[in-house]
Amino acid sequence: MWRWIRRGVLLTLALLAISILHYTLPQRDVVRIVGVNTQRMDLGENAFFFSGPAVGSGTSPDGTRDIMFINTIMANGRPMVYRNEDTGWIWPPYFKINSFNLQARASDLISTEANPRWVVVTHYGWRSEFFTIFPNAIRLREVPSPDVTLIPWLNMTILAVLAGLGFLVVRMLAQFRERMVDPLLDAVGDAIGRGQARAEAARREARTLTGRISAWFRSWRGPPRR
Amino acid sequence: MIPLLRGLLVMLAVLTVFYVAVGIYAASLRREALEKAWEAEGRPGDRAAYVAAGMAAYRRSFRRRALILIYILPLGAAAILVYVMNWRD
Repeated sequence: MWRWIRRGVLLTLALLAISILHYTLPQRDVVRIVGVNTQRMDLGENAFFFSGPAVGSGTSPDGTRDIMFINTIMANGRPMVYRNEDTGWIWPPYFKINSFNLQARASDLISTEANPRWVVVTHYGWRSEFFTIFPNAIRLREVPSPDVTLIPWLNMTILAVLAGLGFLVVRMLAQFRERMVDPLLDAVGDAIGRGQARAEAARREARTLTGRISAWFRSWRGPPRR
Repeated sequence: MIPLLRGLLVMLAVLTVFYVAVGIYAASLRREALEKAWEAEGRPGDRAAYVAAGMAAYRRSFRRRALILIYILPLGAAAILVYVMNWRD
């Protein structure tokens, strides 16, 4: 049973880590921009998936805020809406502070279906209709055609660095265990061994009459011994 | 300006934890290597003194001082990222 609970916990942690990475790492879509707008939003339980109130225009006490949006149609014809918010300085670590400039660029790149201008939108985050959350656009780059091959070099580098850090942490814990914990446990084990040896000697002594009597006298001085 | 300072403080705090942890780890590796070297050299003199001398040399070494890169590399990457994210088109 414990093994299954352990597996469940590990699986949950792994899914959580993968979700956080998938949410935070940059992804790219090829879209054409059909419009930009600023929308007043009443953020409720979806506020977690928007920037914090300290960023950008701020939030009124009742959770109301103006948020810039970039409305696009993807190369496959489906709509995609990005929010355009500063990220602030902590998390996610994009340090984006140019959302107003990005909005100006987005409006500059607006095009029609008849005469499309294709744009690679670098973004992070998820679009969810259920929770009304939007990916945050962080960069726009115009490309001549929607058939561009985008190799995620940056993500590969980041994941490699993270894997290296994970390996380092594992090595550090192993070293810590080998050099600090195990010697300590050995010392405790030795102490237990000494105690057992003493108990064994007392037991052997207790087999004779004189030994029992002297043990009884000793018991006046120290704690009772079994 | 306040959020920027707060972000810097958080980064410095995280990096300091990492710096201290890696510092302990690197010193532990060095100590282990010194103990093995003492064995390999046929146990010359007092083991504790041998290791202590080696650790004193380690504390002055370039490898020890290169650990400052734990601060420099992420903060430099963050500075580059701020520029790339906001001022490069």
